Amino acid sequence: MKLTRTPLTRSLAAAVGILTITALAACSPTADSEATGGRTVNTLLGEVTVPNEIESVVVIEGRRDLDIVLSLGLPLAGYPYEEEGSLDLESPVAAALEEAKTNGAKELFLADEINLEAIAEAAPTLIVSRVDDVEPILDELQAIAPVLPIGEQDVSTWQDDLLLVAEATGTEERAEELIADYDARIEEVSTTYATVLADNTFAPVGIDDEGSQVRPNRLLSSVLRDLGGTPSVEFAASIESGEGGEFGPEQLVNAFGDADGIIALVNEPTIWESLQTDALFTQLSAVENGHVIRSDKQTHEGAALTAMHSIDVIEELLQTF
Amino acid sequence: MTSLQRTAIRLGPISIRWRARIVLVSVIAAVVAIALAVIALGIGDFRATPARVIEVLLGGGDRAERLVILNIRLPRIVIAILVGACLAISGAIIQTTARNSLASPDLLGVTTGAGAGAVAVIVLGGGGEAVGILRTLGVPAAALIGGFAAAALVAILLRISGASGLRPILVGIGVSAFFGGLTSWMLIAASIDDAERATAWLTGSLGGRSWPEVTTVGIALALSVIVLVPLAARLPTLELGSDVAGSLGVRVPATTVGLLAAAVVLAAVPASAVGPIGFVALVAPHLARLACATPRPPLVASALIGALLLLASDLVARVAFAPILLPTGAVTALVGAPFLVWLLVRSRKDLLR
Amino acid sequence: MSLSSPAIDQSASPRTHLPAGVLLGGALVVVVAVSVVSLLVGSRGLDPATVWSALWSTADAEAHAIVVGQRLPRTLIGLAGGAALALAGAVIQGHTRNPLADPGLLGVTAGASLAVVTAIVVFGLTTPLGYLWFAFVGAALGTAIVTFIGIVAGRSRDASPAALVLAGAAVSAFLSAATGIVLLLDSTALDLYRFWTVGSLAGGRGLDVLLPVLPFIIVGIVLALSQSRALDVLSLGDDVARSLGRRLLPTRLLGFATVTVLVGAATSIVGSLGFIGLVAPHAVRRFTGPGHRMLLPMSALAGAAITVLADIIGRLVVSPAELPVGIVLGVLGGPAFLVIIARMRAARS
Repeated sequence: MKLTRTPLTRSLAAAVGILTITALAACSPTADSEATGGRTVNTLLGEVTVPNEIESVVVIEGRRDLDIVLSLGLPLAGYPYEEEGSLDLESPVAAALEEAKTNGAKELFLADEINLEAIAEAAPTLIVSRVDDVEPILDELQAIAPVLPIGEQDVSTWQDDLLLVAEATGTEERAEELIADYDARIEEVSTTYATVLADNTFAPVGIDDEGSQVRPNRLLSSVLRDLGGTPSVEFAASIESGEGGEFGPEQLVNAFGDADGIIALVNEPTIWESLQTDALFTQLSAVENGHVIRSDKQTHEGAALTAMHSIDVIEELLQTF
Repeated sequence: MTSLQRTAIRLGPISIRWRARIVLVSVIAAVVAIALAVIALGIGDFRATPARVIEVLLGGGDRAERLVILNIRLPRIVIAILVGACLAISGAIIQTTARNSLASPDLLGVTTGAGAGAVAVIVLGGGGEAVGILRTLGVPAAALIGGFAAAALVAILLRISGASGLRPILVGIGVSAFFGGLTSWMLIAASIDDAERATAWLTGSLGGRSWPEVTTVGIALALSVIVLVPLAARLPTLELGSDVAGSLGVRVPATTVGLLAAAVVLAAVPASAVGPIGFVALVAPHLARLACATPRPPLVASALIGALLLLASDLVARVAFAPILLPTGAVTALVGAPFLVWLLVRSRKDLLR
Repeated sequence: MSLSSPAIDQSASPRTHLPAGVLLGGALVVVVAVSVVSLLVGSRGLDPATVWSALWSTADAEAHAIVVGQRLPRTLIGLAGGAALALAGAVIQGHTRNPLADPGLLGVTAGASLAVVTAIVVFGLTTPLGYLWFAFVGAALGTAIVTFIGIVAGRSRDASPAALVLAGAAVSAFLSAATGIVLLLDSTALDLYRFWTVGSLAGGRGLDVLLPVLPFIIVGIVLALSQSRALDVLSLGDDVARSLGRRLLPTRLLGFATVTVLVGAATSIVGSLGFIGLVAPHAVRRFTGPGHRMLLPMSALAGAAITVLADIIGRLVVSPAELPVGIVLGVLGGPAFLVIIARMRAARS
């Protein structure tokens, strides 16, 4: 069977047909952008123009973005929620969130299960969220509202993102205030506990079923560094390498035995309870001397509100010395 | 009713053989698929009647409706259709070339290989900066490599141990397990962020995919179709057995390799776009074959039925436990697995021809 | 034709004609050796002297915590779970005359996992003693489905091992999808997901997890060993077995019960662990031949050794982190499966 023109023509016809269908579908008519003027800022995904009047904001990831929106006093319309009862420690943004809820903020979807239709229903004027979450669905989100992408712990500092959102929404004053408050508080705590911070080493350690980890850029970690706390050996190593350190269950004492003060980041209350009687955990010198405080994943990531809360947590630890 | 008459439609230099039943089934499948697509576009938190949906598609409707239907739901529907078609064609080709009606890319390890490749890129490529380009080009490319690696491994192993009966499936399960293990290892050894991203990708879901993925799959489908049309014309001859086909002038090894390569591409690229979705490649060709009463699954009918199947599964995934979105891969597994079992317990005479 | 030789390769007569005592002794030595290595080795390196003293005194608190608090329970759990799964695999292989049967591949483990996950999510039971009975029910369900399919598929002329494996793959896929969906409905259980889909010996599970389950494992072992005779007869084919006076139904039921107890108990302590039931019997068949009197106990010992060995590997490969034993077995099990298939004579496919 020679390859005549016939099969070739057929194949071309078929291909053209499929490409046409795809092209037609891909040329989705986007929502008309209302040129009401607005502020333009440079973000990780290019320039974004945010309207002057912001009636409602939706956040998608629920940590840094939520913190920023709440602390700047922007009108929150929707946010993702965590499963009821999964975390027993109070959220750093709890108070501000409660207030936002009385003003109409609604839970939209479970964190990590983005529901585009819920966002569309909330009909916000602005969407703020982490670039990783926003990027795959950028087209869809942009059809709903302008999207302001912000970074995360390894990408940008919370202060930078706070200022970015402030610039886009005209709330620069508030942002400056928040950062100034944070700096002042840092100054306060680091002076009051200057000797404690200098003479002891510290480590923020995440502990779970599978072992322990330390990461240099989590919010709590960076607050600790801002305060000038001397990092423990493994903490210092991870700061230097810029990557987190992960350790198996046997390594707990080996990795963090040298830290004089430990902030244990434990999400599940059952694990925290079992740690109190765990042979290795109780051997940590920090635990033996009572210099241990508990926090959880809610301080991994956030902005001004979480940072202030983190300072409080660390202060509790410093008071045990 | 078998008819020895061959009717053909001729349009200038193009002639297509017309077999009434296949055309009928294809048309019905296409119509049902379109109808289901229109209905699916109207289902969700925000409801719209099919008539309204058609209005919106044609350019009408208010901003809110256009937003939900065109921007949010349409990409998902289109990708379901394209992925379903790709997987079904891939399955049909493999079933015919392997002369084994239980062969399918997921059972032969191609999908798992593609998964391993994609996860490798997500995990090793690392870093958030190049995410855009890396995702659109790097991940499908890596998935293709992974898929071909798995297929090559299966081919080599079959060469060693013989390719009779259901052995290819066994080898496929083994290769699948191997690549699955590799994927799990990479996920564990990866940094936490990368692992999260990769796990989310691995869920085999059509959610969170947008027009870039649609384009990738569309291009893969188009290219494969271009390659396939001349090759598929030789499928009936190949079916007679390699000796007979060879004596009829068909270059058997080259044609088979070409067909299988197209099948791997058609399985790996959708896997890279939406994650591994199983059983469509197995079930759709069977349904097509049964509906058309032909000895081997017709490609076009399979594609349309595959599109229809995945569309239906995705709809179920969206509405079954609303507002929780199920992974589409889970729904296809829940439906496809019993089907596979049913295939197995039927008389085995049908399985091997 | 029932007189066709069984699917298990009869040409695998013992390559070495060793007396039973030597074989068992040898296997025991291997198990003990592997256990000792497991105590000695880990992501936290400890020299042998330290390990030895840690076993008896609490002087070096860290070493004691590691050796007695972590490595010892892990080793024991691995031994018990591995033995149970290997034995279950050997029993299934005997009953189905299928050399490729394995509780993981056949969806029995998936059934147990699904039941346990349901228990955790729906009823909030979090201790092994709580969800143990669910594990049994789930394992029974998986075994029943697979048995049913095996019977139906086996009615055809030449019962192919592949058909059962394929059916098992389908059942596993189905049950895994269901498990995934159940977990979606309660995201707090998601952390547990990895354990239940991958299998692990870590997680701080100590003797308080093993002890309640141990009686059931012992019962399962006893049940399995009591069937050696029956399995030998069954391997000749159903018709022959009947004509030799063995009543099939009670034998099948006994096998069913054995597999259920063994897999249910093992899954409750190690999670969803695959490939042990497949690889262990094959590894020992070279030495013991097809006779079940030796095959069963040797399989159990081999399963115990392989599981602990896989755990050791997991502790070393990505030190200072760890790979769960399920992943190590997954990576090694795939090629092992392929090797087994390749060695099966072509006629048997």
